[in-house]
Amino acid sequence: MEQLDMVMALLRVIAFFAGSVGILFLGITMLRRAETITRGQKVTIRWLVYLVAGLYVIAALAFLIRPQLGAVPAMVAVAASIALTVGLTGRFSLSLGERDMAILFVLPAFLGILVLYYYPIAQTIIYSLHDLQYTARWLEESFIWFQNYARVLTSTNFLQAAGFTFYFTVVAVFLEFWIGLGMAMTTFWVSRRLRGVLRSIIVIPWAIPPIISASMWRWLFNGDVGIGALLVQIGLIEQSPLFLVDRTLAVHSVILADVWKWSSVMAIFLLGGLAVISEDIYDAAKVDGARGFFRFRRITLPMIMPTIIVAILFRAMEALRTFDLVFGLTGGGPGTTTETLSSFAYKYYFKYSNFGLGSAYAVVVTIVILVLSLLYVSRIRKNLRFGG
Amino acid sequence: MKLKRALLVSFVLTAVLAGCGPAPTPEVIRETVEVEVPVEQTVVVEKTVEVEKTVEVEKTVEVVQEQEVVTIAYNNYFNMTFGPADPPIEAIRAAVAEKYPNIKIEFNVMPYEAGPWHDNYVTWFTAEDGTTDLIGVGAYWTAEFGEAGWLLPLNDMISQDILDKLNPAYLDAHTYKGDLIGLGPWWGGIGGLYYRTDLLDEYGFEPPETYEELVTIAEAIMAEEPNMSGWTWPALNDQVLVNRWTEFLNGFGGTYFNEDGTCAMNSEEAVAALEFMVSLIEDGISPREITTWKEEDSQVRFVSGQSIFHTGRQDMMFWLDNPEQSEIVDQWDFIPMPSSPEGESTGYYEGWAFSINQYSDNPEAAAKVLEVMFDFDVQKAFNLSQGPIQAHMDVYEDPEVIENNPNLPKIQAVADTAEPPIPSPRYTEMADILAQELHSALTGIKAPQAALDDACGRIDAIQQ
Repeated sequence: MEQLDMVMALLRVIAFFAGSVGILFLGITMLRRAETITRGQKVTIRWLVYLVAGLYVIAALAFLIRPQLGAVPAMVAVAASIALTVGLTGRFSLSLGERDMAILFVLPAFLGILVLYYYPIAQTIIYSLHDLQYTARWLEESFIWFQNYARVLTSTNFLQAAGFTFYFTVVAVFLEFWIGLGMAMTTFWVSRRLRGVLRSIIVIPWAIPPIISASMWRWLFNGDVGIGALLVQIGLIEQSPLFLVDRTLAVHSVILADVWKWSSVMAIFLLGGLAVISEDIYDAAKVDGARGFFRFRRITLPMIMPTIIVAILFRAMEALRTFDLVFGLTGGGPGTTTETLSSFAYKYYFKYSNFGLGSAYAVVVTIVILVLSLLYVSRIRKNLRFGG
Repeated sequence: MKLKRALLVSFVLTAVLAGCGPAPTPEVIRETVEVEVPVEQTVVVEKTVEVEKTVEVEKTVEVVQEQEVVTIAYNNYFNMTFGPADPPIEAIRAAVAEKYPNIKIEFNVMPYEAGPWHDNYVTWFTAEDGTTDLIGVGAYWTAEFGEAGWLLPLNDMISQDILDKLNPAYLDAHTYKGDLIGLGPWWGGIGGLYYRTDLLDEYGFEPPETYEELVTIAEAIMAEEPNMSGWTWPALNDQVLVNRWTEFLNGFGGTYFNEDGTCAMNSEEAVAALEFMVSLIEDGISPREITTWKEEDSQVRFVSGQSIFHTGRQDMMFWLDNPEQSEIVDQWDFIPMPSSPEGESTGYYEGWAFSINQYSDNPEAAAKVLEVMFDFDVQKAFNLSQGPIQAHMDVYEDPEVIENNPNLPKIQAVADTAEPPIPSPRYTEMADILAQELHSALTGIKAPQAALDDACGRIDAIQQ
């Protein structure tokens, strides 16, 4: 019975979405037709078209305030579009051209992205400009301009976290790149049979969820049973080091755990790049007398450069956003030494129910990552050509 | 073009259909009842014979009772039992089924850890979601959820008979600005001092009542037993550290706030308390590893017999008494925390109450279930299965409960030292700040005075 209810609910949701797409499509098609017909006609009629188009904008804005609110203006906009076209042509025709069909097929995906992706982004920006505590009803709370942003940018803890996050990103991604490259190249040097095994092993650390890796590493760093205890038993050191207590050790322990986990992703990326290099090029180089390192420097590296750039970009963005692994490992400690940028948005939003400030943190972090990525991409754009 | 037209029409049709959900109709049940009817029949031979005949009668019964669903949110301990009773969720279901057969109980499993648990609620409340009616709420969230208005006031919803049976001292911890917003504790935890009876006997010591005594005992025994840790307690950069710190703060005579509401956690007493905590680590009485331990990590040494003293909650007793997991069965005792002469012995109180979601679709049914949960039968069953500190006072006089849980008197003595969490709507944020600053001091990043000054500066800033 319950399963049936759920299936029915799901069907209703799908039907609702399909219906919304259909109605919206009808309106847009009609408006486009009216626009085509009135092209070059009287100014007053052109203005009518713009007016109806404006209704769609109003509907979108109303949706932003409260999704339910968008329904009425949207209906009005669609009705107005139909009325306009019928009034202009004197009949209701539904014949669809190629462009109309194209719009019909794109519309569902476009609406989905709009609702699930851009709507939350717009909402976050709106939240960040309001004083929202314990409530997300921003219309009822005071608009405070950029006060939340001022608090974010003057927070010493946030600036310290930024410092740690950048250091963490640079060191971790550097190590991950070279270790990943080593792992990827190794799989090409071994026999075919071993290759499969090796590649499966590489995937394992990546497949383990970050929060589970975190508890795993927490035990490894535990003074009584972890790596430290092992080193003491072997007799290499006298006292087990406190990996997560000492500031410098804690920072690098976190980096170690991250490198262990994400080098494999780097390796998987680079495997793809390495696989497309033709064996002939190496053979030709050997004939010319190029040695191992020279072949690596002059053939392998340039050939996989586009892959490297994308891989590093991906990993760097991920590392800048790091949260779960570090937080599970140290809880941000010792003190606030290993707090990451992303933890602030999470903490203010979900832990302290301060949605305004939390959103401001999220927006700032997004802008930081966006700017860094754009800088990186624009500087290496010339290398980003694949193929030809 | 026909196809396209059909496509469009079907879009519009589905949209219209989607708008019409099923309308709620009163439930009519057609029931077939077999009735045996004795019939007298006259036969031609003029002889009256009694014949048994089965007649089918169709009977229509109108059922007015509506099925109601009450959803409860709590962690998976609801599904567990450690004693001679059913798991709590079963006990609740049975008791509710008996009293309100039309109410069905659903169980929404929450995370074990308080942090993610809290964050789930915040998401629900913000979305004004009423799916879950009864929610388990930690005492540390009382002020926050109360300030936000997310929980229904229960003063008039719960019958006075039930309220009279609950310990008023604990209900205070779940009251915000005069509104009772939770019945509790459903499960209560209290911090106290565990010690090794065999070791203290062997070296001729009495159980400590002051910090000084404890340090003396620990140093004396550690001198003889070099592999033994003195005093273990969890001190990770986490809420657990704040819980344990509360005991030291009050033990040295400090308080959370001044009369005017400003932060008093950098007072002379508070600094003395933190300096003492730091000295425990520096002098080796508490191992340096404690700053990486959560609750579970911290218990390991005491349970495996490698520690003289340990601070933890009363529920660790079940573990200590279990010969399969514990090396020190019958070699331990649980007493109130020590204190300095200026302060008083304090145990940190962690209470979990049940509240009604302000957005609940069904608050009346939820209140009925809440009454059943805090009535004697369910409370007793819960004590038999998990033995926590509970609100219902009659439970502690029940002979079956006393027989099942011989440690009750120990718990009672410690329960008298209970100190609730910081009573502030900004508790979660304050606890994070304190955890960071206290941890900075314990790991030597900041001096105690500086760490507490920073903590108070940050706490006063968010209080404005």
